[in-house]
Amino acid sequence: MLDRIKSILKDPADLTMETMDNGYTRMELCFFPSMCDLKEIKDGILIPFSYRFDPDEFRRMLNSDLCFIEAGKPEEWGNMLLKGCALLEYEGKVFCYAAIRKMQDKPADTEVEASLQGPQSAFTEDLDLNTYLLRLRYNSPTLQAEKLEKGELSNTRIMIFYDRNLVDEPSLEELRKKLKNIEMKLVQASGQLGMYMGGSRFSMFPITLKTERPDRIAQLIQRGKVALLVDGSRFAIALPVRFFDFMHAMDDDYEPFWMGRLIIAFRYIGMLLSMTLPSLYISISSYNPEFFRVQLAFSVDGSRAAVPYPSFIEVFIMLFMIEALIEASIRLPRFVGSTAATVGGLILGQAAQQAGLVSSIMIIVTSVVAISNFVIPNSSFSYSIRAMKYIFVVASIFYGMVGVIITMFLVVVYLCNLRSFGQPYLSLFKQGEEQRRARRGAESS
Amino acid sequence: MNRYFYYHIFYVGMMNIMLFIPHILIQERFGGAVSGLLTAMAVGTALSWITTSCFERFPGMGAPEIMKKYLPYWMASVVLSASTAILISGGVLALYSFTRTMSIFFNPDMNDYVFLALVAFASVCAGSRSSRSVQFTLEILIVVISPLAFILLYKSLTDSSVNWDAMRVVAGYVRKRPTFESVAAATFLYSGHMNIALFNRLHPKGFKIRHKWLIPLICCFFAFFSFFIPIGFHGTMAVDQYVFLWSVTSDSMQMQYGFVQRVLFTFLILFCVLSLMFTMITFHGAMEFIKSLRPRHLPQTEQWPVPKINWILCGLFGILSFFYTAWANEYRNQWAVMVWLECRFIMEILTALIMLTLVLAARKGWRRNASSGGSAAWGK
Repeated sequence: MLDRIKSILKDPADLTMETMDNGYTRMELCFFPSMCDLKEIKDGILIPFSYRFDPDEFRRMLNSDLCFIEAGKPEEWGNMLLKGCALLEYEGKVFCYAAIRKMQDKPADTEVEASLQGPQSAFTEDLDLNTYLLRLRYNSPTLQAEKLEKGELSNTRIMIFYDRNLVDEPSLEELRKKLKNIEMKLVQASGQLGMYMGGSRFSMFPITLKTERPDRIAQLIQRGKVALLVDGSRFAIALPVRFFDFMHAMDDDYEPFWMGRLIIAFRYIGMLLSMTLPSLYISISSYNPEFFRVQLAFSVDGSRAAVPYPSFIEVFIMLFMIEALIEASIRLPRFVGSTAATVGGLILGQAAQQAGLVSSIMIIVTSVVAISNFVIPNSSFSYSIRAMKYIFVVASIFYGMVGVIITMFLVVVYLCNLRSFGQPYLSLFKQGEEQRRARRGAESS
Repeated sequence: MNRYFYYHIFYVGMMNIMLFIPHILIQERFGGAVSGLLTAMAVGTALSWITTSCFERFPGMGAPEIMKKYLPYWMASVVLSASTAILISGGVLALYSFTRTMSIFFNPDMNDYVFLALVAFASVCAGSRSSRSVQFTLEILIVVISPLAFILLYKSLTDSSVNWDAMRVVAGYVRKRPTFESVAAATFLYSGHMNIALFNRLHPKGFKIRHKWLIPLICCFFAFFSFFIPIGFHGTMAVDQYVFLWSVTSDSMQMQYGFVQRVLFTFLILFCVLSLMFTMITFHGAMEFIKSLRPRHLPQTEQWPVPKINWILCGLFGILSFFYTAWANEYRNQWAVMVWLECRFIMEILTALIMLTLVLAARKGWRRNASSGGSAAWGK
């Protein structure tokens, strides 16, 4: 066996290959110490083989213990070793012992999608633990799992979960078809997979939902969606999704009904403001000052008195500042992060206005845009909204207020035209159908 | 599914304002306008009931499929081309009026063509989508703009400067004989049901439009509202001075609280979206009709990604609107709108008659080519 492995893997320095002799018989053992749990190898193989050795018992253990799988095909050995298994040859048979080193053994804390009073546990970067988390929350015999591997070089394990009574069959079919067509070298993150899968690399809005919350995935599965868990990624993918799913935070379901609805309404207002406010500012100050009541139009114009250039340049300056600030505070290490916020806050605050670079109304506009963008619970969706506002800005530069309205119309058209795995992305009252399906499933099971 | 049908009724009912119908009717306010409105109520309701009940017998089939199945090919294509022409010209007329309104009240300095480029682009984009997407868009937009419509409604009904007596005076001319023009103009309000000719494709088997009594109710309300409120604001005489009657009327109101003072802007935003919706649906309908002129065309309500032919056809309609803008001015446009309204009225009657005949023919089991398989899908 060892020669064969040598010919496959070319004897890398971090591979241990031993022929062991306990005085009675010999065994060949081979594994990557960096990928295996050494304690388990010791407990599971070395102790029974060395000072507790009993040939009968050892043979029985190899044949009946669940951890030992007979590996008859030499061409699979390389992959098994790379997954973190130990291979051993005893009496002419090769066995594979899964002693995979686990980095995580408890659920992570939510970081991106924090919840005030909901569950605080999040998915980890370990697929098996994630499966446990999901099974724990969706403890039903109807939860179906499928396993596959993607990525030529990374060989990433992927699990597909869905409820077989509730799942939307056409979407599942389309997912399978799309997964089959994916050819990637490295699958590193679930987002990457989601992007390739949807054929949506150039779409303006995400058509798969990434989440780190097991409770959200459980809820989505209950509504007939499919979930994908990718090994090595904290985020699960859910599909098909709809526009409204992105505006929904798990807390909405854990708080009293009307409070939740109110917060959702605020979120939509925030989204609209974040998208349109800079462009409205341009159109009000440069095209249609008569749109607002006279006093307001005067105060907008008055605050612009010191600004020497047209409003859109002002908007671009401030938007660039705020985007740079947001980007910097995401990428910077935590120790330096607070510095960025302070410095940026100073610039965006008083200084820029006092220097006559921007008007004070524009500072309000910028902060409203930034703050209300953070109201959106899903980060990939809030990226989309962040990008969308530039389209509005460009339209308002050339067309003023009408440009903003027509762009809004076009955005609605685009959203309605979008399909997430065959399901309409934006359509009202689809939720009702989903719930009906969920009820039907509950009755039949 | 029922609600989708009523969205069409709603937006066409409101759209009359953009196509100068209040203006046309008000020209005859001492003549046949009021009686024309009443006649249109009867005629429009009858037409919409006949047409919708006929289409209900062919679930999942649009007008092109039905006609191609039961009529000789040349006849079907003539009827379809005529409806296509009506649809395209409706869209182009709406685009022109919209451009004019916006350039007068919103961006007076802007070049008409530059503005038309944006609007035409938006309509082409929207119209070239699949039928299902168009329907979703319609629903979302109706929901989004309905608050604006309610504001406008509320403001104009509660404004203290509305002179109800002026309306009563005009309403007194009910005994005059209605003219063809006024009836043709007023029936436009009821022609939302014509969209079923295409969107019937989306209706599942066994689909029935419920609450049909709502159609005359909704349309009548819009008709009287858009005809009488301007009279209340401007008086019986001054009201015929304005071509963009409703823009001026809404500018007579003001909102005391909030950012925006002039109701005009509420009105303009509302009709900006409505006009885009109208052009979207007319362009889309025309595109689908032209596509189905091909003898072996298979109608598809869901296509993703959008095929190239959609872009090309809708792009052509967009270019057509440029030509029309180059030719038209306010007077020519008035004339064109009037001609269009009359043609549309005649076409509507024709469609209802043809559909009625086809339903009777289908009941007898008569078909153009019985060998092509499949049974007539009417009724159960």
